[in-house]
Amino acid sequence: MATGLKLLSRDSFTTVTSVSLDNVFSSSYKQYKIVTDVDSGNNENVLFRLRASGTDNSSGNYRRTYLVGTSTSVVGANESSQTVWSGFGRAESGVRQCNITEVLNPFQSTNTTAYSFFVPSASGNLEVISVAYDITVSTSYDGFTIAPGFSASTFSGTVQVYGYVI
Amino acid sequence: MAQVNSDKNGLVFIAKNSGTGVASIDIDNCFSSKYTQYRIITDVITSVAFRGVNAQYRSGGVTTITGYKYQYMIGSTTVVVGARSLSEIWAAYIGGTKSTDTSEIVLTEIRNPFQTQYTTAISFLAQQSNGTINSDVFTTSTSATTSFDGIRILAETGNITGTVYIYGYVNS
Repeated sequence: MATGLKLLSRDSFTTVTSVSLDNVFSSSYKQYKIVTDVDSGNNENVLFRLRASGTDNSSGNYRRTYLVGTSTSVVGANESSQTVWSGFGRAESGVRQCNITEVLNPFQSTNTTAYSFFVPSASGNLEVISVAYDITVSTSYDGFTIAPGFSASTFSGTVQVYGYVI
Repeated sequence: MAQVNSDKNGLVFIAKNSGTGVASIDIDNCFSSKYTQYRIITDVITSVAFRGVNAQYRSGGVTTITGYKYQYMIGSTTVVVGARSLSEIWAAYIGGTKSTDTSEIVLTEIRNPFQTQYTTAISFLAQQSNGTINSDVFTTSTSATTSFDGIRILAETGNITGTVYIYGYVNS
């Protein structure tokens, strides 16, 4: 019996400002699961950029809508014309948390969409965050870059990419 | 990028356990250093209607019954509400019942139960409640960085009947 989910890559890194994965997206898959396990001294959202032929797409064509539950407050917002998908998990000081993202059609020449769920502030006042992403261009991407935040901070951890067999 | 064998299975079935009319279903030695992320699937009904099916972590056959935290947001028609508890008895929300014969779909992922980290989990519930359907997202965490090797499944109140399945995401 064929497997339905394949591990495509696993990278470990220590005290780096960003991690780029090339040639991880292909025509062999449409949907991917990305699991990050990171920490940082700066307690920042993890940033994500799609990447083609070794170059990040840093244009202002990323969009997202998020929901954040903090105690009894649940708030949301949408953002467009962004240069990055923000909130691709959280990197906090000394804490590794459950960050799950699924990405659809990054390699196909259509608008890539994604969804992230994660558990911020596990060591303190726990929150819940879900984020829906898309990009307004139909470019084919073969990889991505993640970074720990907008400031010049570093992070450590692992990133694993799985592909759903089609 | 660290290439891995692309023929390798990404998700491995680890264990399952069933029970009929029991207070809890335990699965021991299902968490190990081999995996860091797990998917839990439950097909469980409760003896009392409209009750959640919850989890508590275990170590060496002993259940930890306190020291958990949760945060949720629940969407019901046009209303979204949230709540948080920092002193809780449930490690994860992994099931529910509309009635005593209908289980609800819940997707649960658990991170780092065996590692000496905070064990965190995310659950997505299609909660059938009082004639409507709610969309629930729960995050949970332990309050301490304890290592666990097992899990207990139990209802808020009453007994449970059904099966619990545990899968691990391969790391290499």
